[in-house]
Amino acid sequence: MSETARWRRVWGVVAGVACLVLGMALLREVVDLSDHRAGLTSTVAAAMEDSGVSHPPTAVLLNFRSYDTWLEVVVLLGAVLGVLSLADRRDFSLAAPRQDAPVLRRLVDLVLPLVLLGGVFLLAQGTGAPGGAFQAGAVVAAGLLLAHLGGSLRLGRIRGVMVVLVAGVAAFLTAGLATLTAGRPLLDFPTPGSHAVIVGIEIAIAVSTALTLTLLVLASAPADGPDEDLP
Amino acid sequence: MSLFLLYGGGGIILFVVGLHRLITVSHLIRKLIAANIMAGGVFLLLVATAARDAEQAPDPVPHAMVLTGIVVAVGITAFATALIRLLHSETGSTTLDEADGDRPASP
Repeated sequence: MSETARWRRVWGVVAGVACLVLGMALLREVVDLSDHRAGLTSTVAAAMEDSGVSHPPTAVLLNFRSYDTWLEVVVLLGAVLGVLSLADRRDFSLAAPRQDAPVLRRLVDLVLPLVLLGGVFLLAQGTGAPGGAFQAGAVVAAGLLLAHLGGSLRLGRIRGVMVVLVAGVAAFLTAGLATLTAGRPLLDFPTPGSHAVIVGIEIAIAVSTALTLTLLVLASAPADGPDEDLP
Repeated sequence: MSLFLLYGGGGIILFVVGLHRLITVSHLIRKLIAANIMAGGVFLLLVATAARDAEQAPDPVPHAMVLTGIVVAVGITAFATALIRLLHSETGSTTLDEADGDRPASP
């Protein structure tokens, strides 16, 4: 076998042994960890009245650890900016939708309103039950991508793309600056207004996440239709 | 075996298997999938950590961490896919090895 293949075989074995050792060490830690019962459930439950929502993960995401969520939205923005900068087209237009799938198009036209309604529903119930901004954004993005695949989404140049994409980051920035100018720590919402602030931020995140996820998929498609060399 | 050991151990196994494939295969899409499997293993371990205590409600902090992690993984995967696609359209190869050129990657 050639030199390169031999070295690759050796490296595969070495990596396999190293990963096995790492796996054993991690499994031992997991076994140790199962004896600990401490968690943050009671701590979070004690603070839930000040959070403004009734669902603990939403409270953690958008109130207690809202800084992490802010940076998560920034990461999404960075990813979409990276994909847009690599795109073939320079005008934010989406790839041409398919024209030759009438059954698919009819099916998508029937299903799309339900999908969009499902996204809005997830956003609305996010404060009291599993759901929330990112889930709603993902469902709406899936609906938009379905519409694109079915051929009924005909967006040329999208106006105001950047405004919508930065809406989530901007909402957090506004909330953070407001808390700072009020003399509070960053993103420390006052208890009476925290529900309204959380809902406002969630709406902004949902809209920007929906467009972000749609563009992440569609902006990297080649400008002249599917690749010719795909089998 | 408690549920935590089952899911936590499963998460660790996914992580280690993904790590091995990440550092041994040379095809970039396979590397990306391996990285995603590693992420899945980490999420599984975090969710198992949230459900350690059977009497109490699940711990919401690891839940929020997993939500954040999933979103970040999606963003990174999309950007990496765009980069790999650009590499393929510019050079025609799907690996970063100069020695192989366009040779198919290792199995």
